[in-house]
Amino acid sequence: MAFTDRSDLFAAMHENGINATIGQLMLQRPSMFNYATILFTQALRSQLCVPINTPPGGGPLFTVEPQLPVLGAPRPLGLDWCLQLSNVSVDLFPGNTLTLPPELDPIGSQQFALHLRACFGLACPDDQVVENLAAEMEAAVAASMLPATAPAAGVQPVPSANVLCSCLDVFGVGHFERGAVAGIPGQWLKTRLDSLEIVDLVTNPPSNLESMLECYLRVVLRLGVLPRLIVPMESLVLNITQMLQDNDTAIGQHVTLVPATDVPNNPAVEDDELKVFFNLKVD
Amino acid sequence: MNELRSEVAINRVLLTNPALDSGAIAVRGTVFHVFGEAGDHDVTILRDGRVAGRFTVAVQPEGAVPQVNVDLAGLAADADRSGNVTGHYAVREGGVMGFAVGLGVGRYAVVISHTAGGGSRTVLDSRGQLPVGDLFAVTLVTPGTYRATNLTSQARLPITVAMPGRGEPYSPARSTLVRAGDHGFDPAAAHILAGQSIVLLAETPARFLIEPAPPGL
Amino acid sequence: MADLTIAVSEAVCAKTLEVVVANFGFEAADRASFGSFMAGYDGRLVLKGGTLDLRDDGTVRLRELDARWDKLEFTLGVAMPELSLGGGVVDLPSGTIHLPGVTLFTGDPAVVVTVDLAPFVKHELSLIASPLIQHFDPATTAIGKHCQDLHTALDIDDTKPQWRVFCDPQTIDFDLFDFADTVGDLFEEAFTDAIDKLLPHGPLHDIILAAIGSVADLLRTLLDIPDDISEWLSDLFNVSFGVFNLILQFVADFFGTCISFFQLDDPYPMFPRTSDLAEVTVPIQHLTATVSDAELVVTADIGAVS
Repeated sequence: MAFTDRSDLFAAMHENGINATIGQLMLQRPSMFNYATILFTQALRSQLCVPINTPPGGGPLFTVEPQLPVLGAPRPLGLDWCLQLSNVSVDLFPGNTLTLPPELDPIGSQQFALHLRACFGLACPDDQVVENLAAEMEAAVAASMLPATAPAAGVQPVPSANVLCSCLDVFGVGHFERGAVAGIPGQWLKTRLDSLEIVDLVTNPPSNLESMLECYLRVVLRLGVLPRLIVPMESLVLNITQMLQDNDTAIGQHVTLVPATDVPNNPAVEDDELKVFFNLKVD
Repeated sequence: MNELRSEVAINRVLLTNPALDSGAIAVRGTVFHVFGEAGDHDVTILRDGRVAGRFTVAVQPEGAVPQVNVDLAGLAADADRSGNVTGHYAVREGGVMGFAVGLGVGRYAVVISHTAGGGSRTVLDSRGQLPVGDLFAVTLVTPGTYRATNLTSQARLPITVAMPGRGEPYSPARSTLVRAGDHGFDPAAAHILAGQSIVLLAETPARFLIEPAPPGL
Repeated sequence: MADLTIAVSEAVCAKTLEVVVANFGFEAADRASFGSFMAGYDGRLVLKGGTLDLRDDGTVRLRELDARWDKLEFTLGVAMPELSLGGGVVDLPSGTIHLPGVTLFTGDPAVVVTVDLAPFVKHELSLIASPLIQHFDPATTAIGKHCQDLHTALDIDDTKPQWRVFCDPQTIDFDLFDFADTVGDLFEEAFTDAIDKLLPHGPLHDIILAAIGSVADLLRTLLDIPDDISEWLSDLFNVSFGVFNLILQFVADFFGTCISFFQLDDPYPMFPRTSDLAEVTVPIQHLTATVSDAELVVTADIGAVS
């Protein structure tokens, strides 16, 4: 059976290729996988939970996020923190390279399994720092009782040289879709997360802590990471027909690639591969 | 042959049709002199009455070629200031030298003297009569009727020049011999195709003039 | 298993061939002396039509491509023989006298004719090719001038590394030049016209033509050929000018090293650039291309982060 029995053009990317691509993505765009406060660009750089290599083409090491607020402080105070996703890998149906937690195993047809390691780091101030700041807070409260109250300044970081890290293994299951993106022509490959599980986080008695963290990470992935991983469908065939499309006027025709619609799944996840099917549209 | 020129000059004299006179040799007319005696002969070429060239012909009993043709216009152009022409000419005793004009509008005469025993004797002065045995050949190009006259005897020869017929075999290199004797021309009339030649043989001293026949004759 | 598999159907290959063929243009001109005559040509060959078959022996067959000349101007210059009037001999009892004759022209007369042979010659091109992979490196891979022009026309970017898949011809069938007999007539006509123009008007014109006899015979004499002008012309192009071999070489270069059917940027920009981030590229490695009777399959690996 030929690859192109059901379409004019076929492309398949094996999970090894996808993982290699993810590796390139993490190397070249670390800011998609690393989030931290500004202090981690300088004083705390060596305190990151997972070291980040400088991307070959330049660019930020991580996405800068606001500090974690110290709740109740009469003057805005913030703690530095980082969240780093690493060791990302996928296992396309049928799953055979990742050992999933029982809640996710086995993955269904057309699905993929995902593993990543999520590390959260918190810059924890020592007691002396807190003591000093407490005096300032008291002074601030007292000052607020005076008639002429000074305006609130920006968030003041709580100094710390000690970052506490905690890493968790996260597994997920997802699928691929194709569709339009508002405002941009063409069809895009989109990655969807169906479910997520954190392992090795157990409380006794059982609590909602695991679920809350899973919820947070799921939201981060779905709204923070995955939208930035959309790929033009034609990228999966490496624009192999670009010359044909660019020069179609030479033959007096307009040639475009359109996703094939008479295949059961397009994109399809089968045989450890992500497959896409195109037809040549000639006008 | 890397360069080709398609602009070439036609020999324009062929586009005119003047009378041809054995006493004034021009393009289309050739005087042939037969050398009857061995020994050196001085040849003087005259153009419009002036000496334009001079050379010697060695007439040898044997060992030389039977015929030499010279282009008077070319020789005159090659002569030095005193009129001498470089080059050695030799012809067999009884042989012929042809005096023709290849190009131009010049009219030439030839005087040949036989030098022997310290003396000199003129054997040809084309301005006068051709001696017996000499010939005058003319090539007639324009179709029509011509008249050849031996000015010495006033004998006349009508000549008809016709266009070659389409598809008929034709060669310009065909000549017609006419003898000019005491009793006129033999044959009494000549017919040739345009571009061919009439050769008049002087069987009596003669000066030939060939001209288009006046209308009505 | 390769990281990446791309299969291109025969229909896509055929459509690509159309584009490639539409941009085929062989241009050549030459001029040479052959002793008594000079000949030159100035032509442009284009391709049209054709079919493409993928074959299960791993080859691609391009068949029945019409090769036609947009123009094929052929110039022939021959030196006219010395023509004269009069002349010949007259026989006398004393011997034969040679009449000198009167030459018609001064200088070296020549007749030059230019005929557009384009409508009278056509060829068919077929070839069997194998996919050929080239890793194009702008710094080291040489591109000929003609090829550069074609790349510019086709908007092929020669400034970045690419994998290129060519249809490298293994055998090329191209019809030899075979001019129709009518070309001989055309030539005689043009030659007669040229001689006509060379000659003065009036009776002399007809006399000279009569002296020449058959222009066709004169032409054959000048070209030193037995009879068939069209056959002579074919040999001239095939052998003397070597146009046939030039075309074969051009076809081999055009398909084999110049115009690739498919190109992949290496590294390939998998994730487009954004307003604040550069594109993300992946290295393409170990490219292969194989042909079956249904499709062309390209496989490659994606370079892992070391």
